[in-house]
Amino acid sequence: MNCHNPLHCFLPPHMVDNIIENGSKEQIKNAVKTLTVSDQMRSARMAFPESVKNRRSHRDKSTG
Amino acid sequence: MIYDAENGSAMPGRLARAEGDAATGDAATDEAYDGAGATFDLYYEIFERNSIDNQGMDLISIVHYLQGYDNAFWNGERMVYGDGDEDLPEDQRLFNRFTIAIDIIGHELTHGVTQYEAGLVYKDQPGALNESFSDVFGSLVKQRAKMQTADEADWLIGEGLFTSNVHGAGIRSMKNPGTAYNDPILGKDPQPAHMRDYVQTTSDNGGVHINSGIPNRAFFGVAKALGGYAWQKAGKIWYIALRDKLAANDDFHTAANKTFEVAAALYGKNSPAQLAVQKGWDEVGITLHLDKKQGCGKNFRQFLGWP
Repeated sequence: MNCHNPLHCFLPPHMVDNIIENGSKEQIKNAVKTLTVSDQMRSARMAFPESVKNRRSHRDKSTG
Repeated sequence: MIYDAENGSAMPGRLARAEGDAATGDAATDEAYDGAGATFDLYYEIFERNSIDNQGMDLISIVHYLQGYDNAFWNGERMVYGDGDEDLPEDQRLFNRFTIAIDIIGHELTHGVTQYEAGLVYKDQPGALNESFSDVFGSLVKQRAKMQTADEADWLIGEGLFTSNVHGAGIRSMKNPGTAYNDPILGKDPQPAHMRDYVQTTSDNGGVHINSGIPNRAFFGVAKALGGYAWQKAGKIWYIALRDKLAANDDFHTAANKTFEVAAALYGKNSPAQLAVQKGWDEVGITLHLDKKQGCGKNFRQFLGWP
């Protein structure tokens, strides 16, 4: 996980993990898909970190 | 601008609703449009911020991403929403579409604001603060859309996302962290509301979605103490702290100190607002150490209900 360039998912991972552990076959299928896609998107962001614009280039934070 | 991925993975997909277009009749498209608009309006009209980057950045959202995708995310440039479990039989569904709750939209777009401002590292306490700021402003978007005071608001995050098959009111509760859901499949809401219950874990980047309950509860306490519309004072303090004070690796104590400083700058030392900030953090186990000049007067203690 790249903590400086993360993928911000709304659903907490512990909730998805619980579905995989406790859910029905159909629910598990969607949960696994959700985890897999999130991992793929994270990998894509880590591969191209320069594409992500970020913080405060317009101001000097250190004076705050 | 709202794009429709048409249940595929190609992004951005087909342009479904451009800025100024009439409603389409598609719920996800129109909710994403209205939610992004309400979020933009909160930042612009209340905090004088021009979009995510404060330079008028287009808000691009993608709906109907894949099929059976149970999530929404901000990828650094755009918002993406899944349709939840709409592909499953009704009795199997856990999640509705992820545009259904306006605070989810405000939450995710605020990750963009944080990215452009404090740049809070997505790990441990800075990561939990990152999550918490998204919950705070997501909740404020919802409260402002409903014109609710702090007393009237439910302070739930993601209300409406669960189907009726789930035992839960929302994903998180800012008012009572740890009580949002308790379900045989999803488990029990693991959020702490106090530092004594802080969860040490390596999963979820050090529990960023778990320990955010602590600063969430602090903000709720501040907003509750101040009363009225939470975006007017409490929200402004949190926004200025995020914009001007917080740095990438700040922890809870540092955030508490910086919100306390901002409250003094905006409303005066020992003002009710500043003391409400102190009390809000104190209630979650984060004590601010004041110099003697910052001591509390009797009137303010009475105002806050302190002994």
